Amino acid sequence: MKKYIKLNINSTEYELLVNDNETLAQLLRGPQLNLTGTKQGCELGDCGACTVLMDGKAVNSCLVLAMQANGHAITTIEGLASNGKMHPIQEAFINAGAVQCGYCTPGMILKAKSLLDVNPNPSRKEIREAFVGNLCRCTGYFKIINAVEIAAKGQANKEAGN
Amino acid sequence: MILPRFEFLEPATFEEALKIVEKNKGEAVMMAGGTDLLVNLKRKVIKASVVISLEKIDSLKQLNYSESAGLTMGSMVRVSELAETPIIKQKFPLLAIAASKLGSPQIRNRATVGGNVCTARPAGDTIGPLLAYGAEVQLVRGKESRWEPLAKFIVGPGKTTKKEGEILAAIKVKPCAADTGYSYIKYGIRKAMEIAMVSVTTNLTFDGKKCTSAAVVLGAVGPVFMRSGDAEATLCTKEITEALAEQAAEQAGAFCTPITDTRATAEYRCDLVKALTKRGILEAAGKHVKQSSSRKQEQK
Ligand SMILES: Cc1cc2nc3c(=O)[nH]c(=O)nc-3n(C[C@H](O)[C@H](O)[C@H](O)COP(=O)(O)OP(=O)(O)OC[C@H]3O[C@@H](n4cnc5c(N)ncnc54)[C@H](O)[C@@H]3O)c2cc1C
Ligand code: FES
Ligand code: FES
Repeated sequence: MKKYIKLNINSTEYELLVNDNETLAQLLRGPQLNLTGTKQGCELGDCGACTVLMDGKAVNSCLVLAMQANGHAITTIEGLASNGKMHPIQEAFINAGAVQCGYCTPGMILKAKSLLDVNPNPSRKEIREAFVGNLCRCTGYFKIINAVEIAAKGQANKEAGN
Repeated sequence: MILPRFEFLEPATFEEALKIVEKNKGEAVMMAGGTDLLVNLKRKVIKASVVISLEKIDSLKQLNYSESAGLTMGSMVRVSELAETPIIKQKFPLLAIAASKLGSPQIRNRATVGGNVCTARPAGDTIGPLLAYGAEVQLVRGKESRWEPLAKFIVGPGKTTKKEGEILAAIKVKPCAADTGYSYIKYGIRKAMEIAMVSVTTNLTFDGKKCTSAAVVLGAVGPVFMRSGDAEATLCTKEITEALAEQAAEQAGAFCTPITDTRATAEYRCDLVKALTKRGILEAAGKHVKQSSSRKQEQK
C-alpha cells in the first residue's frame, strides 16, 4: 500500500508517496528525490554507507522505513554545502586525502557532523569510537580521523576569529 | 535488499496498539527500533504481512527514577538514551556502560531496550546488567497485565514467555544499594560492532570492606544468561582478595555451558569465563575502594 508522508529533507519540505516496505535509503535514492549521494552497501546496518541525520542524529537509512521519516527532518550529504560552498568537513576530507573511491564518504562526513555538533573538540579516541559503524575499504581510516581533527580545528579557529 | 511486502501500522497510543495487535493476531509483528526486525525481514528469517510500529507511543518512551521506587522505563527507551542519561550513568552504571557498547552509534540511536530484551539473545548487551540488577518486565495484552522477573521471562536463545499479542510495556529496576562496585566486560575479536563472544557482568554490594551480595552474570556461554550462584556465594560476606576472586572465577568457569561455534570453541569460552570473571570481580572491588575513599575525602 502507498501512503503520503510529509518530511523535511535538507531544509526543504516534501510531501511524498511511499510504499509500506520502502526504506528511507530507497526513498532518498529513488526517482522522486534522486539524492543518490546516500550510498547503500550492506543494507543490514553493518557498513554505515547509508548514514543520514534524522533530527540531527546519525541513523542507518537502510534500517529506517520511509514511513518512519514522516514528520522528521533528514539531512543527506547533498544538504551540507551552502551557496555553492562546501561544508568545512567536506573540505577537510578533501584536504586530508580522506576520500579514495568515495563510497563510504557521504556516510563518514554525516557521522563526523553528528559528532562535531555535540563534541566540537573530540580526541582521536572519541573520533575512532564515533566511526565504529562506518566501514572504509580504501583509506585505512587514518586520513579520515585526520580530516575530522582538521575540521574540528577549523571550527575552533573560526570561533576564535582567526 | 528488498523488504518483503507488508502493511505498516503506526498506532499513536498504547490502547490503540493493543487493539491493532489483537485485530491482526497471527499475522503481525511488532517493531520497536527495527534494528533486529528489519534485518530479519530482509533476510526472510521472519515473515509477517503486518508490521506494527510502537514508535509513536509516547507513554512507552518514559524514563522515571525515584529513590524509593528505583527506575521504571518504557520499552521504547532508546539504547543511546540509556548510555547518555545522567541518572542511569550515576545509579545504574552497568546499564549505561553496556548500552554504550551495543552496535554502533547509528544502531544505538534506533535500537530500544525493549527490543534488546525481546530478542533474548545470549549476548544481548543490556540483558546482563538488567539481570544483575534484578529487573522485572511488564507484559500487556488487552486488559491483562503481568509483571515477571527478567530471569524468568527469557527461556532460551531468542525465546521468551511472551505470549502472542503481548506487548512489552515497561522494565523496572529496584533502587541500587549505595555502596557498590561494578564491572561489565564484553569480550570479542573486535572492540566495536561485535556480538560478545563472552560477557561478564559483575555487581557487588559492600558493607565496609565486606562484600554483602554479589551478582555474577555470564553471557554467550549458555542458551540463556547464567548467574553463577556458586561464584556469588563464594564472594558473599567476605573481603575480596585476589585468591577469592580466583576461586569464584574457577567456579564460574566450571558452571557455564558454552557451545562451539564459528567465533570460539566451548573450551576457549570456558577459559575466557575464568579469566574475565576474575578480572571483573577485581575491577568491581577496585571501583568500590576508589568510590568509598573519594566519599571519605568529600566528608572531610
Ligand atoms: C549492525 C548491528 C549490530 C548490532 N550489535 C548488537 C550488539 O552489539 N549487541 C546487542 O545486544 N545487539 C546488537 N544488535 C541487535 C539489535 O540492534 C539489538 O538487539 C536492539 O536492541 C534491538 O532493539 P530494536 O528496538 O531495534 O528491536 P526490533 O528490531 O524493533 O525488535 C526486535 C524483536 O523484538 C520484538 N519487540 C520489540 N519491542 C517489543 C515490545 N515492546 N513488545 C513486544 N515485542 C517487541 C519485535 O517484534 C522483534 O521480534 C545489532 C544489530 C545490528 C543490525
Ligand atoms: S547500507 Fe545501511 S549500514 Fe550498510
Ligand atoms: S574511500 Fe573507498 S570505501 Fe572509503
